[in-house]
Amino acid sequence: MEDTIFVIDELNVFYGEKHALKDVTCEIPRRKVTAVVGPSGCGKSTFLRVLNRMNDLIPTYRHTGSIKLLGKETLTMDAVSLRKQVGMVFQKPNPFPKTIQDNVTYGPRIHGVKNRQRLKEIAERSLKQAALWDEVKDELKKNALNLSGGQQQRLCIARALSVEPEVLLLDEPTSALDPIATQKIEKLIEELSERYTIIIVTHNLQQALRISDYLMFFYVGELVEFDTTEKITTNPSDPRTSDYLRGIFS
Amino acid sequence: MRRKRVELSAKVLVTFAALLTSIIVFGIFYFLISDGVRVFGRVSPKDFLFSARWYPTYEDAEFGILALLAGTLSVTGLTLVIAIPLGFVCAIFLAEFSGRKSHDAIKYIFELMAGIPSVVLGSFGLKYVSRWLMEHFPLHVWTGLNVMNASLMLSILAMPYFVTLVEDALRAVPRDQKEASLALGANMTGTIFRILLPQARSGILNAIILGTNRVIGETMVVLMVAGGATMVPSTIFDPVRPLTSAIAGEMGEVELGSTHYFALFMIGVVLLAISTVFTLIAMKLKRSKGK
Repeated sequence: MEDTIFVIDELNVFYGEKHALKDVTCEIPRRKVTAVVGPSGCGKSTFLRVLNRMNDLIPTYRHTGSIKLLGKETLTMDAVSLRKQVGMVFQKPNPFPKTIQDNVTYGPRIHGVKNRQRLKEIAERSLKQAALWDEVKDELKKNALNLSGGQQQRLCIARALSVEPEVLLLDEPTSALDPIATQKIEKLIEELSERYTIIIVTHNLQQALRISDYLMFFYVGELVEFDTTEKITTNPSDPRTSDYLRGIFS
Repeated sequence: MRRKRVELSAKVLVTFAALLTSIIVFGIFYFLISDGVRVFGRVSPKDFLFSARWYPTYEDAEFGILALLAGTLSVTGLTLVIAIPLGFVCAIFLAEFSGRKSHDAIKYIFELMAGIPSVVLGSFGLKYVSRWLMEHFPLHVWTGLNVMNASLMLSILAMPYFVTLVEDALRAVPRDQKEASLALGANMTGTIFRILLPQARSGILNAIILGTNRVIGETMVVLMVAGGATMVPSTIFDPVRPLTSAIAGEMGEVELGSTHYFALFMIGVVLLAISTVFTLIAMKLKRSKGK
C-alpha cells in the first residue's frame, strides 16, 4: 500500500452513449513515472482527466467504479481538494496573462495563503523545482506571456507544483514544443519523479520509453497492458501491444 | 491581365463605398453643427449648457438644457444600475452554468426581448408600469411617468445587447485558462472572478459603453414614459424630459430658423458628441484587447 498512489477498480466512463473507458482496474505506483500510451481515441486523455475529475465539466459525462487516492475515494470527494492533490499540466502551455510571480502564487492564494514572504518562498521553491528559477529570477514581475514556449510550459509545471500536490498529470506536455525544450522537460520529469507521482499521456512512444518506469497501453477504451516499461518492451503479453510497439518502431 | 482589371475595379468600388460612407457621416456632422451653432448668436453657450430653464415657447424664451441633460443622465444612470448587475448575472449564468436547454431557452427569450419595438415597450410602461408604480409607492410617486418607469423600460431594451456582449466576452476567454485555474483547485466562483472576468475586461467595458450609447440615444420610450417635465430630478420618481424626447417632441412644432429650431439642433450636437466620445472609447478598448 505504501508505494501505491491510485487504486482503480472497475472504472467505466461514458460520454452520453459512448463507452469511453471499459472496466479499467489497476494500481498506479507512487513516485514513479507512468506513461499512458495508445492510438488516438483510445481513451488515454479521458483516463488522465478522470484522475483529477476534469471531465466533470462535460455535461454528458458519467462514470461508475472507484478510484482511491491514498485510500480515499476520489469520485465522490470534493473536486477542489482532489485537484489540490492531483495537479495537471496541459498540452498547450497556458500560463495566465499575469506576471510570472502571480502565476506561481495563484494556486496558494486561492487556497488561503496571504503572507507575502510565504508566497515569495513558494514561488521560489516551485520555480526551482521546475528548473526555471535561474532563467527568470530577475524578472518575476514580467508578464509570463513573454517567455518562450518551453519556459511557459515549465512555468505551468511550477504553477502545478505550487500547491504541493501528490500527483502530477501531464497531458502531452511536449507536443507543442521544439526538441530542445522537450529534452529539458523530459529531464525535469525524471527529477520530479523522486518527489511526485507522475502520470504522463504521450503520443510519442519514444518519449514514453525514455522517461517512464511503467507503461499503460490503452486500446479502444480498454486497458490492455500495464507493467514496467522494461517488461512491456521486451516481452509484451498481449498481441495488440506488440503490434502497437512494432507499428511505431518499424 | 483580365484578373488585374477585375482586381482594380473591385478596389475602386470598395474605396468609393468607404468614401461615400465617410462623406455621409461627416455630412451629418456638418449640417447638424452648422445649424446648431447658430443658436449661440442668441443664447450664450454658458446659459445654453448650464441653465436649467428650458422655456422655448414663452414670450421671454429661455434655452438652458441643463434640466434636459439631467433627465438624460438620470434615466441612463438608473438604467445602468438596474441592467448591469442583472445583465452580469445572466451573462455569467449563460456562459458558465447553464445547460444546453436552459441556455437556448434564455437566449430565445432575450432575442424576443431585443425584437420588441420601443413604441410597444413605451405603451406597456405608459399603461401598466405607471399604474403599478403609483399603487406600490404611493408615498413617493406623484406621477407614474418618471425616471424609474423609463429606466425599467430602457433596461428591458438594453439587457439583450448587454447580456449577449458580456457572454461573448466571457466565452472569448480561452477554455484552457479556465481549466488551468480549476486544475489548481480553484472553485468556479473564484475562477470567474480571478480569471474569466479580468481577462474579459475590455469586452465587458465595451458592452457597458455600447449599451449606454444605446440607452442615451433611445427616444420613443423616454418620450412616452419619462414624464416630459423640464426639471432637474431630485428623486428617481420625478418626471424628466431627456434630450432625445425634447427633440422628438418639439421638432414638429418649431418654426424654421427660429432660436428654438437651432437650439434643438444644438441638442442633437450634444447627443452626437456624447455618443462619439463613447464610441471612441469603445474603439480604443477594442484595440487594446489584442495586447
